[in-house]
Amino acid sequence: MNDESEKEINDRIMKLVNEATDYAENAPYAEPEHALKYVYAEE
Amino acid sequence: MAENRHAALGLSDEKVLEMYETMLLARRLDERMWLLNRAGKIPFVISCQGQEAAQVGAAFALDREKDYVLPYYRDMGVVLTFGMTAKDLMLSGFAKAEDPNSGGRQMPGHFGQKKNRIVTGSSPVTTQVPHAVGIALAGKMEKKDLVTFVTFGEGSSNQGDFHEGANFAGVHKLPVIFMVENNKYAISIPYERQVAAEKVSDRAIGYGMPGVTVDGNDPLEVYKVVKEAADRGRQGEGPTLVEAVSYRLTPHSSDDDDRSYRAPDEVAQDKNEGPYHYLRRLFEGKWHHE
Repeated sequence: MNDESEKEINDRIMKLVNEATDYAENAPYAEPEHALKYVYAEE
Repeated sequence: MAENRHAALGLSDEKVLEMYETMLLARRLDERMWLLNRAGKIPFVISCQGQEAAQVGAAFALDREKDYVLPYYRDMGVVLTFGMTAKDLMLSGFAKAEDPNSGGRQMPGHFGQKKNRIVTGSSPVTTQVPHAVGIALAGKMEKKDLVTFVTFGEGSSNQGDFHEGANFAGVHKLPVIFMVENNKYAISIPYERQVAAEKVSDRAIGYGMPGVTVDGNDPLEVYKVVKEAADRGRQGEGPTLVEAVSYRLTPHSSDDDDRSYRAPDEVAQDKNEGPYHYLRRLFEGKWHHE
């Protein structure tokens, strides 16, 4: 590992973190009625 | 020297690099979650920071196609190694519907993902220990070549669930690896106020299993002892208790203020010596001049 490959790793990881943050922030919450799902076995 | 240590363990350069990247990803995700919490965007954080080396080193020593992991709430390094993604973890942090752990219903850190054999945990600490023992028993009865890996804090090693699980696994020689992530604080209580034994691993003899204490900042050392424990388990020699000693670099959670029970310079000192820097030094020794 040298300075270049270290930068490449850091950049790649920060890209993953940024993409994950954006995706999750914009993702929908569960519907309120989903709170009742899986409490009992599904028919 | 660093150069030969990982090769002696049967680890390729690529594998060690993969370990490093997994540790770094865990650290960066965790740091991002604190920012999001302080910005009011996510409700809660419970950190892996300071324990990534123990988590990743151990998880790499397991068979990711066969073994079951029962992580505790700090084990981001374990679940990332077993196939959970950055996106999955962020979905959990934001409590969104698509969160694979609980569909956004549970607090972050309650890991569970069937396809990756990450067993869902309950909220009371240490309940995962008897679960791991039960899965190992089922594996033995069905003659499956599996090992279960369960982690918990040193505070949890005082719980009844630990005692019952460790005893049962010892008696029946079950393929369980019990790994205590001793980060020196059970929320606000330092080690010497919870355990009278010098080491948590001293407890192992009482359950008829080997106990070993390792430097939890050294991923290769943790890899080595967990690999040996996994081999023992697969050969029918029974469980092992591993104590990985590290240091918790953050407050207990985003709702805790650790300034009331430990000195800031204690934290700062350990931050410099944390696991991420450890592996970085390893690379500097090995690859910097290639």
